[in-house]
Amino acid sequence: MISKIRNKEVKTLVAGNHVKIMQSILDFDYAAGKDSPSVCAIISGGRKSQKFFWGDGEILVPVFTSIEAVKNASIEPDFMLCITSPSSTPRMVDAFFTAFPEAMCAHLFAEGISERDSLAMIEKYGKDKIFAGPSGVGLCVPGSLKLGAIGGIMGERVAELGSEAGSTAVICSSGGMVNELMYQVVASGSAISFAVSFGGDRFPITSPLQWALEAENDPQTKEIVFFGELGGRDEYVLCEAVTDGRLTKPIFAYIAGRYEAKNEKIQFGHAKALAKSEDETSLAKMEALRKVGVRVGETFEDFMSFFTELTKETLRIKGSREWKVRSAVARGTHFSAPAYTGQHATSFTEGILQRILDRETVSSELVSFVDSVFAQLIDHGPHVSGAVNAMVTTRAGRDMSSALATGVLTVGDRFGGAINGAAGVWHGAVSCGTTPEDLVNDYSARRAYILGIGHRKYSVYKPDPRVALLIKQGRDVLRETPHLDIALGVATLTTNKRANLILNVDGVVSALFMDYLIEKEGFTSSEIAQLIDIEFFNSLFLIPRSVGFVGNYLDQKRIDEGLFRLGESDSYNY
Amino acid sequence: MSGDSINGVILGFNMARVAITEYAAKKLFLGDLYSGVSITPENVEEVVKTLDMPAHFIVKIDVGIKKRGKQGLIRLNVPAKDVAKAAQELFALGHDRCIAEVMVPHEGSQEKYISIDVLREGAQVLYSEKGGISVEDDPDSVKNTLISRAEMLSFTPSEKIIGVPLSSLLETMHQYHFSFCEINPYILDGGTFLPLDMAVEIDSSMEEKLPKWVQSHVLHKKVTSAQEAEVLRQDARTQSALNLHTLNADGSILTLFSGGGASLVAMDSLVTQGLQDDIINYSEYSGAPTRDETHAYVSTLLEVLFASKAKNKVILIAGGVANFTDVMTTFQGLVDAFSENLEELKKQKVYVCVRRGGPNQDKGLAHLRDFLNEAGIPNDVHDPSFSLGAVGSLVKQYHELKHS
Repeated sequence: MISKIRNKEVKTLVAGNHVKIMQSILDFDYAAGKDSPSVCAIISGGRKSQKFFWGDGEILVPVFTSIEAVKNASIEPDFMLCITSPSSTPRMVDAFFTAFPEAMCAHLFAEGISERDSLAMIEKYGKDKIFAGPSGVGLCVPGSLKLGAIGGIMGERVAELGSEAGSTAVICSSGGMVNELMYQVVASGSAISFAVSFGGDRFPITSPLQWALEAENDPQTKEIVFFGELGGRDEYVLCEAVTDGRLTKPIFAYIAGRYEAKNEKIQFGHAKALAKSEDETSLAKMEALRKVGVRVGETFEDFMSFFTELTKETLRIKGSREWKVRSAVARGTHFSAPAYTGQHATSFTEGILQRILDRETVSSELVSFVDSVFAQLIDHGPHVSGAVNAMVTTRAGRDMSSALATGVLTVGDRFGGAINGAAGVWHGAVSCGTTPEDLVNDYSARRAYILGIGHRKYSVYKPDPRVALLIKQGRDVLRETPHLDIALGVATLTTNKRANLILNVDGVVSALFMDYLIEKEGFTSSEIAQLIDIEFFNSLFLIPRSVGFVGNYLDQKRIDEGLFRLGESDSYNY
Repeated sequence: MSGDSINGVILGFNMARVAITEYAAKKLFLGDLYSGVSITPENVEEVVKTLDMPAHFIVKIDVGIKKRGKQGLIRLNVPAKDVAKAAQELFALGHDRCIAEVMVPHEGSQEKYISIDVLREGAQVLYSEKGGISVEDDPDSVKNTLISRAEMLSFTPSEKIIGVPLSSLLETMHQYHFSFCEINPYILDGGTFLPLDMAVEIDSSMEEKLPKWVQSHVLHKKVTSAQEAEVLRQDARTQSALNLHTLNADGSILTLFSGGGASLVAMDSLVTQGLQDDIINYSEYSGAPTRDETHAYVSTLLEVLFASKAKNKVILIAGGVANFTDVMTTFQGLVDAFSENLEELKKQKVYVCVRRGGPNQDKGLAHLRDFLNEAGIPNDVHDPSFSLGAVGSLVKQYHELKHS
């Protein structure tokens, strides 16, 4: 498994958010000469991407709310760094290996995962997958993989691990001690083939023996440094493997925890660290290891002195980069934004679309469609809410910006801002294969309005001319119109219930725009879902109607009737 | 033989196995069929009123102590009217919980033994036809069998033991997170499985998920000082782990260790120097406590140090090369606590000995060293180029220096 890790491009999913640990992984990757970070996705809330240093530049890593969403984005991680709570970690593990059955390995950071949960994970994944933990700090294969805090978070040391490999495997119960031992191995002039803290819990998912066998089967590893603690019987299992010849590489070991209280059994820092019976004490376990030929330090100092015997061999990782201390100036900027380069637009509408879709080119068909949409949506008369507000503000003597802002601030679900919501309805139906019947039944069961359906003024008897125009334009250009078809199907049913439940402008603009995106711009369903997520579609109303609000302002300035006051007869005072 | 597994008190730090009362063990296993009662000094009057009048009772101390018979912690054949008195007598011996059950007359030869321990491979079951207090005298009678992990997790053991409802035992263990369960003895009363004595350890990581009443039957180590109680409170309030475990209140070495593994190594290095009996405490902090948390924690530890009657006091601060605990942050908290107690530290001529590494180590170590030097406190402050295993010899040298 270890040499497999060395020979592949590592892709890690991070569940939970620990910025310093993730940054240390990126520093490691950068030093190792990778083209891009191994962290390919983060599961967290409240954001879509997170920024990290990449060398002395910066890079964004996408953030998702669930493992499902990562899969939908066609990202295929094979490692998981799980920094979630003890109770949610087992669920996360199941979700990860269900979504990515080919994935190899996970590190579970949480301390306090129940014994039963660990045993269930051993039963399910113990044979095929490798785990570092529960608890501990993870797994490190120099030059290839840093899965967790292992090796620390200090740039310089992490970079050393990224760029230099050796022949000593460090296998350690404790998260703090694995780093200490890695440090001492390097200080003695040797280097690491891989290092792991299998965790201080009673039931590590991958057992110390399994890790020792990983070292045995790894051609690069020449010897094993093993650190264990009092409690449990793992070392006896190791002894058996030495005796029956499954472990042949030299092992240097220390089993910590010789303090014995007079009248009690002490629970030390780790869950397993309690000697239940005589044979679980550190002295008994050290003796057993010594008997089968393992080099066991009488004291920790003796153990350290063995390190001078470790193979002195360091391999420079190919393509590795020098670590440069990030200067105080190179600290993080406060936000990320693409550089706007829309100088190629030949029309206002084309420029707008390039800008809001963040694309360098946009098809002429979409430009032409949106041109019509904008033309239709610039103004819809002085009676609508936004226009009224813009005008009242103007007559109160305010400036153009204030009048425009007042009009814009009126836009919401009830006025103009339903395009995005309608897009969500049609897109949901198309991607789930919902029929118009099901959709209508669902909304009427919930007594909810379908955004994009219904108009105050227009009805089947008095069709909205703007809608008919846009439909014609779309049908003339597009081969397929799945979103429009759903929308019209829904409108057929709703108009049977009430005559004014027609497909309105919001509904038709959103449906057709998505059909254009798919056929003319090559958008995928998940890219469209992302646009809906960021309220993109409301821009199709806000942009042209801003022109209308400016018009409302200019009109009122030209006429200038003075301050507006609602007449007594216009209101009912109770 | 895991017969002595609950012998002595298992300490109640989180994330380990911890005993529960016999009452809770039986109530969880037997449910409504169980008629025993749990008696505390507070509820004794009320509880005895509910007892079945004509029966005779057995009254036992129920705080996780084993071999209670030999220690005089059991009263047999107590008539209902005298149960309260028997309980009061037992409380007078310094314990605060009893269990009272109807006596089940039986012969010693009926007593059988079973224990189930949750292991990586599955459930290890030990059982013997010759149970009771002398089971350890006849180890050959004890049979040993392993129920596979899959069978254990689904409570469908293929193994059968006559009269023992193994499947429902495994189910109870699963449901209530028992990690270890010993029933010694049980008898088969007309074929019915009747546990007479039952000792259970639960997985304390799941303690908060257990029914509320069970949580009050979890036998945590009793705090032995105000400072231990204070550190428990501090620990409850933080994401990090802080603990204090007093070993010898009148020792001379106050330890302040970082990390579960490194703390063991540092303890070992004291032990190999023969300083075992001089250690005041085992204290380990990890998980990046903040400056304020460290400040409060260290202040509490200093109270313990100052209260010791020993001479030549030492504070040993040791840890490995931390992965992400910031050395500067924690050492700032340390210095805050030291400067508040400067007068007493100097008066008691405390020596401070440090070995630590990790993020910001150079700044952190210098901050502490400068403070100690300026304050005139004798010290040795080392970075990871000084071996973690040698901290014991530093302390030893200091002790010898003082004695010569």
